[in-house]
Amino acid sequence: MNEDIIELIIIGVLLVASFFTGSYIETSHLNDIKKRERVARRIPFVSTRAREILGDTNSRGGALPQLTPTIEAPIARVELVYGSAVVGADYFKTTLASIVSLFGGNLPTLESVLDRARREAVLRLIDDAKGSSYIANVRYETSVLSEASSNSIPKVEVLAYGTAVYLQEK
Amino acid sequence: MILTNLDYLPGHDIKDHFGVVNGSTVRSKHLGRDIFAGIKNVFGGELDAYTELLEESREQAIERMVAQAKRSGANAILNIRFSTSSVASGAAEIYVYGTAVKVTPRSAVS
Repeated sequence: MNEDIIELIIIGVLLVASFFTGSYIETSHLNDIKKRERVARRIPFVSTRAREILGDTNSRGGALPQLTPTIEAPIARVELVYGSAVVGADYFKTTLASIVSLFGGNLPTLESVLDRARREAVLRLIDDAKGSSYIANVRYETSVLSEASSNSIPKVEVLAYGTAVYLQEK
Repeated sequence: MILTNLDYLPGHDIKDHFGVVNGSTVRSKHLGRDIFAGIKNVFGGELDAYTELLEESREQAIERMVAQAKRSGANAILNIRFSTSSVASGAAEIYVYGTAVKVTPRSAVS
């Protein structure tokens, strides 16, 4: 009887502690991401190949009309770039998610974990491609790193990779 | 060795083709740091220990792929793709693969 009460108290303390630390970490991480995204927008990234943007003379299509002015400079070099981030949920989020998942539907607690991991990975991708004009053929790769047991707290790794295109100086 | 995940190299022609090359590593984190990351996991946030682990593994996997391509005589790897999977608690396998080719720069057409 006493052990059960102690166990409940420990769970309660962990839930409260992880709620406060978890939401603080999440909000500060999100704010940090938003601040860096404003700067990172200077290097656009697309999931199409470079040809579609350049209007390569050998291909049928022309440049994407939305990306004006048309980038007509020749390519100096291309380089594989990537950025990755591993973000974990906390004890409170996981418990809440398993209760909510009994009823089905969206799990906004875990959606935010993946969102932060994805945006952080993209920011690091853009950081790796410093000095380039844009990043082409961007792909995402997501994987879960956690033990097989259902009680474990999920950790997610998002990798964003693409090809940074450096145009020739005029 | 030129690396790209495009399926062509701008301004170059593919002269020869050496098939698919790959590199992979399975890594597990040092026990002490794994326990610390496990405790940190209760409180949430980014797990730098794991990010570092996976980044090192990824670089090593890419090095192995590049070594394999060099042995076959290629000077570029196109269409590179990554794959990550968790194989055991605290261990992750990074697999990277691409097509090894020999490219020559296209002469400028005026």
